[in-house]
Amino acid sequence: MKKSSSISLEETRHVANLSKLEYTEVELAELTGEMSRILETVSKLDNVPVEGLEATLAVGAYANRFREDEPGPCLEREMALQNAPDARDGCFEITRIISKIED
Amino acid sequence: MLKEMARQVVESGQADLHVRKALQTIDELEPKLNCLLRNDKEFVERQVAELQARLECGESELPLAGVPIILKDNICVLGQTTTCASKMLGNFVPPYDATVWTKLRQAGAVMVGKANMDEFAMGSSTENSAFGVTRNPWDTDRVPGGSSGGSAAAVSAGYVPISLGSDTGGSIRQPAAFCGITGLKPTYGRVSRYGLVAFASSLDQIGPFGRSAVDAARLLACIAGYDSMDATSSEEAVEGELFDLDRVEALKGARLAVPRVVAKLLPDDMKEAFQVTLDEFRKMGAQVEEVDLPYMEESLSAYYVIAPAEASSNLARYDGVRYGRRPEGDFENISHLTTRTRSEMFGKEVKRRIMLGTYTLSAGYYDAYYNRAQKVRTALRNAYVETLKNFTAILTPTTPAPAFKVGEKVDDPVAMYLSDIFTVSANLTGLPALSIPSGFLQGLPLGVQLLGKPFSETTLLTLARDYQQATNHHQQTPELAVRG
Repeated sequence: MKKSSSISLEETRHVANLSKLEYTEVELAELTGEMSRILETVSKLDNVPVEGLEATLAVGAYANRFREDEPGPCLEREMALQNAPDARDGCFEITRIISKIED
Repeated sequence: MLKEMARQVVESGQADLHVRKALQTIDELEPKLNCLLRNDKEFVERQVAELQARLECGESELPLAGVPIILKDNICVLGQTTTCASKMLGNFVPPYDATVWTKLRQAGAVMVGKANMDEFAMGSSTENSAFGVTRNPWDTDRVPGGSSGGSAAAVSAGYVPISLGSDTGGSIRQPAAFCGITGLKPTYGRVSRYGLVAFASSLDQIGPFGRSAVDAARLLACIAGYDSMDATSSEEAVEGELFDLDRVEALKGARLAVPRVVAKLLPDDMKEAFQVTLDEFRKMGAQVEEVDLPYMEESLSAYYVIAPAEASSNLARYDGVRYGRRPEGDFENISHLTTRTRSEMFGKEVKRRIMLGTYTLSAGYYDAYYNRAQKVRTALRNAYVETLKNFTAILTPTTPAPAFKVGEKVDDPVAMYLSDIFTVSANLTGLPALSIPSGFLQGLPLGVQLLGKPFSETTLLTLARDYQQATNHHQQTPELAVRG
């Protein structure tokens, strides 16, 4: 799809949903304007000829490095849980994700 | 200065020789500046006791013995709250140390505080902190720059001689310029990112702040090098000269490239100030030549596509389950819990960038924005590498203007982003760049940037050291720090 440098209110709403962010209608409208202005600014990208160029994902020719597949020290369970908003019985606790089947 | 400070500590055998003074300055000036998010005195005392024991055991290989230091609050220190200036991580206590802190502690440094910053390092003014703005020591109505504003202001105000920041698009160099100190973004991979809270992983680097190039070099020497915990860290050897740059000979026959486009991007008063700097370099014997370096304006566009894209992906981890603050109340389901957590705990700019990144990465727009920006990045790197074949460094101002007023740009993201125009290229290309003080405009410090070949930190810092021997801009101190 060719980019247009403006974004609609509906698109902003969709992106907010994908981003797991909620906004009021007033905020959504304001954000739509801001994002449009930013996208308009970044449209300068079109000035650069890029035919035949590879994308640079990261600089430096570092291939992925694997360590030896041997057990080593790792985070203690207690430490891993210390920052959890909710934990129980050595597990992260979240809200119920399976509901009871009502007869 | 650092070398002398460490020597005094080792010779006197007194671990807290410099630390007390730092704590006193912090107590005096912190109410005016708000550089720090935490200043845990008990932790300081524990470090002092540990260092004292090491001194008494006769340990002398301590390049930073008893040197007080401040770390940006996105660098993890075991057991010390690390918030990234976000409500989201307001109570986050890291379960491990960042590699840079492990190395600094080994070198004998004593951490006296964690520095304020723009939330998750997103910003150019430190106004995006969830815990209040930091003030510029040169003019407390103005911002210190960002995102490492607290780290820069703390060195400028004399809390500590050195500090650490992180730089994703200029977040070390821009505040260094605004606060009148020296700051360096190393080559991508030079310093381990293990324990640095991620913003944009292909751009982030940790780097040093100091009052001089010599001090910044010594701090860099202590934190650089390969780390098995960071797959992107480089195996390139760290040059020993960095520890003691004073003993390195002056750089002869430096050739500096000044991009022609710079003049177009500067207001007249900044243009004049930059000409003065060029003359200073010429007087030192450097050859200064104008060059056509393309894509500087487009680099900003590439940056504001790539950085938010990587941020939106990195910040997906804040789901309200494993760490981070969770709002009060009942949640309908896990999605509701995550959405409520993110909406309430992230600040406005962080959310804006997540939105922007999610948009440019979404189906249909990926090629037009993200993929194209990554190709522009390639074009940019090719242009820089080509230019640097014939030059020692590329010289530009660090920023298009000196420090702006608190509140001046906070409601205009596009204007705020423009202050990064000279700095983002170094991150996109992975090249090292530093900012050094170059004088004043209406009482506010200015900085110039030297950008060089991969792993040429020693050359850049030597050139900066030579400049600092020929001029005295870096020795100026804000009145507030002199008065106390």
